[in-house]
Amino acid sequence: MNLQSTPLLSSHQKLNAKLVDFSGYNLPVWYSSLREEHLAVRTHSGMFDVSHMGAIRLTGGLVEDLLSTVTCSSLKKACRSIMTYSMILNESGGVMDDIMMGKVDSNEWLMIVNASNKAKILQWLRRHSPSGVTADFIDTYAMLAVQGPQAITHVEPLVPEASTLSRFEIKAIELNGTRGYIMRTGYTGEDGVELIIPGAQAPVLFEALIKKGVVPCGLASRDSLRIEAGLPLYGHELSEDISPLDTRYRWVIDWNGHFIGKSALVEFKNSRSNRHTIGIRVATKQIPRQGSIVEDLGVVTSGSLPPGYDEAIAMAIVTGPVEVGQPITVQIRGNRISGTVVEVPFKS
Amino acid sequence: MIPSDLKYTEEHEWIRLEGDKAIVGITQHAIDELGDIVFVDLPEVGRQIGQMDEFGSVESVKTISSLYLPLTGEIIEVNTDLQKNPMALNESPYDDGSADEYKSYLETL
Repeated sequence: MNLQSTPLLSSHQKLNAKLVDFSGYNLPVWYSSLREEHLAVRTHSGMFDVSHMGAIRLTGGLVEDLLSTVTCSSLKKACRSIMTYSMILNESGGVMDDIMMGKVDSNEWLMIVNASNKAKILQWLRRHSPSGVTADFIDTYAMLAVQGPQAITHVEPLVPEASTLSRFEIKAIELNGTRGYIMRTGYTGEDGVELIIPGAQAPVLFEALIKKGVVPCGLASRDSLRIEAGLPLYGHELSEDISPLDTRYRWVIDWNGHFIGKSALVEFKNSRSNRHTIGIRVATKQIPRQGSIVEDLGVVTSGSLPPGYDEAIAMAIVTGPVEVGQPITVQIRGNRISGTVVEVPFKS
Repeated sequence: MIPSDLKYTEEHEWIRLEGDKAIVGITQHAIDELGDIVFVDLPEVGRQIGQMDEFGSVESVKTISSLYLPLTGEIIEVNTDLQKNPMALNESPYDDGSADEYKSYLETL
């Protein structure tokens, strides 16, 4: 299969990025090193090409009816242009995707979906759309995430709306006469913005941000940053075999809502001994990876050794009650390693 | 700089032959593929290992890569510093700057 390229591919190549196939896209895994890029985001600012993510534009008078049916969250904040984290569930309460959604203006909503679930979610939205609702990817655009304590300061001279946004707010912007979007969101645990802009304008903005001192960052640091922040990744902490009740994001469920998968959730809540997603730390730099067994409790979903850590960290999905500080044993490639249940987000 | 006095394998290990001893390490290319190294698993001194047998692994945040011995022999020394400071491999996979210390281990042929 041919790899798809984002509008920023030639910018990445100019910087000698190491490119890999990620969800069918040719994307940087790092430019300099994971360590430098991770620390740039934590201490000043870094940016990621996230054009592989799906941005779905929804229009029509009944978009809110669609979204309150297919997502498990209240639309109250989303209606006020606050990007709202939610999950789309199947009839059995399993997570089909985790998404961000928000109303841009009176006739337009935006939903950001995972690259690996693009086709599935678009099909699902269309299948449940009332008449008059349209759902389409805005796919000639680039998506750029600028993250870190100085992200807003660096973006503001180029996109003035950056400094006017409240946390999670989305606004439409005009960039050289073309429409785009800016939202105060991200996937690193830091403040920052995500921009959706016409592909042709992306390299200019990307290079202007580098001149301001924003460090280009690859997927490797994106993963270590999101794990350190305890953020879930579809295919790891989330899947169709996992319900929102098994995650650290039970709060997304609006129990007053009427959404697909709700009856299954009600049943789980009342009957099943629920699973939990926990953080663990192990007494080695060997990283527990997806599938590593946490003895008597469950299985690791993601692991990492972010810069500054002497002990690897991981998230795991476990059954039964577990407390912070509790000792555990993880099987890492044939070795039994002792560890502890720790608070999430992780701290070095 | 890729040293020209070393021999290289298709699995991106390097070998320096010194009489009946050999020093084995991994190449800059292997390091570039792995990224930041977090853990190096090396064999015990005294272990007998056959040609192309797995003798250890190098782990980065991104992935784990097995190490294969290009020749048959006994491990006579390993670079234990790598266990404390695996990132040293990222800085210099061929040596650590001093002439007679290498980032890998010695074995008899």
